[in-house]
Amino acid sequence: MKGLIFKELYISRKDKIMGILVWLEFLFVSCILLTSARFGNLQKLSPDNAEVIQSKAPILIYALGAVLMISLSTLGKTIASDYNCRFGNYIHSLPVSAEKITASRFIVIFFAVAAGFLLSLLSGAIVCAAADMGFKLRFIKYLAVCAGIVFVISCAFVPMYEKYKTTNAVTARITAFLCVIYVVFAAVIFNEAFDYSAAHPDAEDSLSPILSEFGSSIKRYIDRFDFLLPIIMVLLLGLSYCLSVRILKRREN
Amino acid sequence: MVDFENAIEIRGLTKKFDGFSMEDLSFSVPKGSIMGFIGQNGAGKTTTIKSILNIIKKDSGSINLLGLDSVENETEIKQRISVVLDELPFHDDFNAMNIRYILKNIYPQWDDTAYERYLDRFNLPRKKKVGQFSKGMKMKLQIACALSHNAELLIMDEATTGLDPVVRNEILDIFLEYIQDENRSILMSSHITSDLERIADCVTFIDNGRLLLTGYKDEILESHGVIKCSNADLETIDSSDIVSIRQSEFGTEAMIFDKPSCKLKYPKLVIDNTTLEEIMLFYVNRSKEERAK
Repeated sequence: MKGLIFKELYISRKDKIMGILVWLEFLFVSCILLTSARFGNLQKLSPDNAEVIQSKAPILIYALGAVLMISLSTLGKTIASDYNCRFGNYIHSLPVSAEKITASRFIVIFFAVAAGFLLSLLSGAIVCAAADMGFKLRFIKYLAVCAGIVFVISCAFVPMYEKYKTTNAVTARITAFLCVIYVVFAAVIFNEAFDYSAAHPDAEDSLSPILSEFGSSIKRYIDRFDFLLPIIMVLLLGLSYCLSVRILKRREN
Repeated sequence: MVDFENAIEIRGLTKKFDGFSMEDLSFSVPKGSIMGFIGQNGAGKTTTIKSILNIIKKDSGSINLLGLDSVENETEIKQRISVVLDELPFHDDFNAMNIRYILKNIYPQWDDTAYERYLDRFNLPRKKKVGQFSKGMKMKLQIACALSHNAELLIMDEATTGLDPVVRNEILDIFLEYIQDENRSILMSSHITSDLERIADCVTFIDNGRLLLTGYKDEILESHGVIKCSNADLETIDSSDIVSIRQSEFGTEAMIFDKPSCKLKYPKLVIDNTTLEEIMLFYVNRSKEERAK
């Protein structure tokens, strides 16, 4: 399995380096923004800016962490390139089982996400220092949750790539899936707006209350989701593993 | 370890695709021999090899490799065999050392010294990316990989296709060296019959997923012959002696499959020796005629 892990890491190394460079760039810009809000031009422009920008620092921490973890954990291109150079077929002539192939991919994703998580903690500490605020325990907790989600979703992409073999085919399916989600989301918003308008026929600005109402209903779902998330994630991970092994074993028809 | 007579034993292999079917294919590769697997493009050579390697699932039939069932003992078998494809199946970004690291950690019997020896012998650079290799270099690297883990069976799918004659000769010499150990065997699929004529001990012809002919190369070459004659002479030949007929404006050629008995039966006719290529062409021709009927 060591050989397979090396192969995955070697092929994806350039993408990972690029991901880290983009993350460094974001981190640099974030730090400049925060420092400027405290001491520089932004602070001169309006003294309130410092406070406002400081309050946004946690979002920056999560965004930086998510961007890094997602970019490091993406393995789809590697799997697609395996099929492109026919390694995807050749591997079946080697003494490695479908379980080992899948496990090696999941391990690579795990290491990538773990590295992303550690770097996210580092970037969190840097952002906190730039914003002049303490690094709180909840940042670690949420970044860990984010790492878990990124890990599971990246693993869920593995069987898709094993089945459809090219990035374009997988992207097309994900886009189609997102479009369906978007339509459902739009339908829910429309429904909320319709209900609100019916209840408040004289309201002038209907958008903000609708959104706040929608937000509170989302929050209710999220509260329930908080409990279900670990279960869903473990199930999704198991399902991704089984599917990937099954697709590899089924091979060509 | 199981003792075996045939390195590969295929019995009643059937595989159906949309527009192609392989029916009841049976042949075997004796231990210590080189089997040439011949057929035109689309004849089913790659499908057979993929079935042998369990890359595709067969519909029915049995395949034994090195005395073991190819599906039940898949991992054990794959530690003892090597596969050479028509193209190097590694990412262009790798170099020979990266590939060594990958395979070393996959094959328990990987031999670093043998690999280094082959790299030196083939003059292959260690640090250059394989994407910058020529086709010949890529094939040599693939062969170096295939021969560096003490494999008992080498399976090649169109490995010499697209190579220049010099590289092809060099590679064929290596196969002859490899086969010096009588426990080793080679299945070599190709439509370049001259290569097989040079090194193969046995040949198997297939066309359209069906077996046309299988046996020892020398016996096949000795038993087959071509009679060049007029149409009038052709009528004197018993149709059951003929594989198929080729007619042109210069005359008629008929391939017969039992040269010794035909020599006695038709003493006035001249029977020329033939080549594997001609045998393939005549058999494919007969196969087409039968399908047309």
